[in-house]
Amino acid sequence: MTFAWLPRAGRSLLVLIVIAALTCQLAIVLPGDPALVLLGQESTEAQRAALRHTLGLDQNAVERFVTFVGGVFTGDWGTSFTSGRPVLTEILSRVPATAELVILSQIVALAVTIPLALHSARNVGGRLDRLVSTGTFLLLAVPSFVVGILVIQLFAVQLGWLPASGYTPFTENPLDNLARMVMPVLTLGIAEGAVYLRALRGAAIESLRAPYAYASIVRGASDRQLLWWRILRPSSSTLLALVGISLAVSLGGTLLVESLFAIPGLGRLTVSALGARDLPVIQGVVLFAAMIVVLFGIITDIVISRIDPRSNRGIV
Amino acid sequence: MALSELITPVRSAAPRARIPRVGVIVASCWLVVLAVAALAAVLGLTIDPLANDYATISQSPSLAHPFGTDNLGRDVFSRSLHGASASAVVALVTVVVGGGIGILLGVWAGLRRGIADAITGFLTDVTIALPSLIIVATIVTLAGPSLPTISLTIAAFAIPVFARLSRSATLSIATENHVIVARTLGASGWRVLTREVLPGVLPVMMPFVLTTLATAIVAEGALSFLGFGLRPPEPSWGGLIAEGRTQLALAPWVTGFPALLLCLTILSINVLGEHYREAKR
Repeated sequence: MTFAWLPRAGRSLLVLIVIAALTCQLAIVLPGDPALVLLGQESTEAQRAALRHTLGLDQNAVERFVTFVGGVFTGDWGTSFTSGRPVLTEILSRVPATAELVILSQIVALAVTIPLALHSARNVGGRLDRLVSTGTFLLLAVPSFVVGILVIQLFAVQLGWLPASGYTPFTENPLDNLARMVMPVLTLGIAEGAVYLRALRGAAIESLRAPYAYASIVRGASDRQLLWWRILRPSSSTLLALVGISLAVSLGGTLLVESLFAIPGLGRLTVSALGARDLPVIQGVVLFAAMIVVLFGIITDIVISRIDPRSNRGIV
Repeated sequence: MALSELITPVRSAAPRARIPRVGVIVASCWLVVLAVAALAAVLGLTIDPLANDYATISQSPSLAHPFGTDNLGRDVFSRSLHGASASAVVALVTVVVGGGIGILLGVWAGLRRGIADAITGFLTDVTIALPSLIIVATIVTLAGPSLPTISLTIAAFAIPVFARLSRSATLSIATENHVIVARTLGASGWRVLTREVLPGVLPVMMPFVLTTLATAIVAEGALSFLGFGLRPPEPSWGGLIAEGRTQLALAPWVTGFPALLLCLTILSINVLGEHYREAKR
């Protein structure tokens, strides 16, 4: 089954090509003459013609697609209107902040939810389980931007423990960087954790009903041995799929969190590009995000088939 | 007594955590009351949500202004209810348009298989790979933010999931006897679709319809919160929450009440969805 992902990769490439084809036609959504909308009424005809040329609007759809895809492969993703820097440089310079935010929030969410989920699955209807089930159910109803506001109010305004927003690169001042990451990570992690907890709890309850759980108890395994060595692995495929999805679509979530906490990552880049109607950057971000989704889709499938081989045989 | 009854891998104190009946009643009541209030606000029975009144700036909740007023003296209660109507429009359009097209596509793919299946499958793959919030924000910003643009763009992203779920529901229903009998008796494709397959698919989709209502409301909220939704001063929940952030210390009710309405509405929808799932088991 080593090469089972190969046709999948071909399919993914096709998906990316279609998305590239759609992305480079984005300017068409603009009502009227895109150049006029982007530059405003006071622009000269020469300026507008130059812009039409840089956006490839003087070409037909097919030519534009070929130029765009060619540019993507040669590293020429266009130039930002606002900063004048190449789009690819702009995107790559924003990756570290977003990656740190996303990875830390996943670690925190998993570290908190896995033990809680396993133990509440072992004692269904117990005090911990009722607390966890009710708590996650309530949390699922709170959108991340509301969570973010509450977190800021609590930790920055009421308690005054943490700076309200801003970002310091890790290489500059690791401690300040981490202190400023606490609230954004918490905001992202809470939303993810609630979903993870419910999924893993459900899967663990199923696993605990399987014969190997009985066998393990009969052999005298302690709760800890049973849950961590017998139950976690077979229960984790749904959780892994969810982690994969949330890593893949993390760009959407960081849009809100990065705006709330003024973190100079990809989300902020997107928001400011949208505000300035910086079309080349928007196109770049969309394509980049699509690549991430496709890439994490493949990685998730591989990881799940390694951790839970049953998924290869279509049993699960 | 069997050995397996003595050993309890799942130590169950209660049969299962259930949604209490009271919760379901309260949730339904909340949604109905909110819908009626939003309708009343749209019909103009409340204070004008856009009217500035500099005599009543940043007032705390009172009888005249149940949710207080913002820094321009606008009535937060009326603005919240108008925001509710905007959310309701987005949610309903998403379910009706996105759900309608998605379910038809899914059922078509499930009954026809072959090329129909391939097209819907690929469409789903493409849409899932698209960063939805970014695309919605881009299209809405470029095309100009209006309620129809926002609702239809969010609805477009609901299509593939509806298509995929209704396709698998169709696949299991298509092998049931009543469908096979109808086909054997020579029923037309349309009759099989409307009389035999859809009545089976729609109930299966119900929990997902509720989830979609909630997702659409949150998506609209996120969009307006980022400033890409309805243009201020037009009220929407996300926009109100964002506007109030600058006045949190002075007038926390400007952000607080719309946020509370938003969370309670999502909670109520989730309660109904969970109740429906439990009832089906």
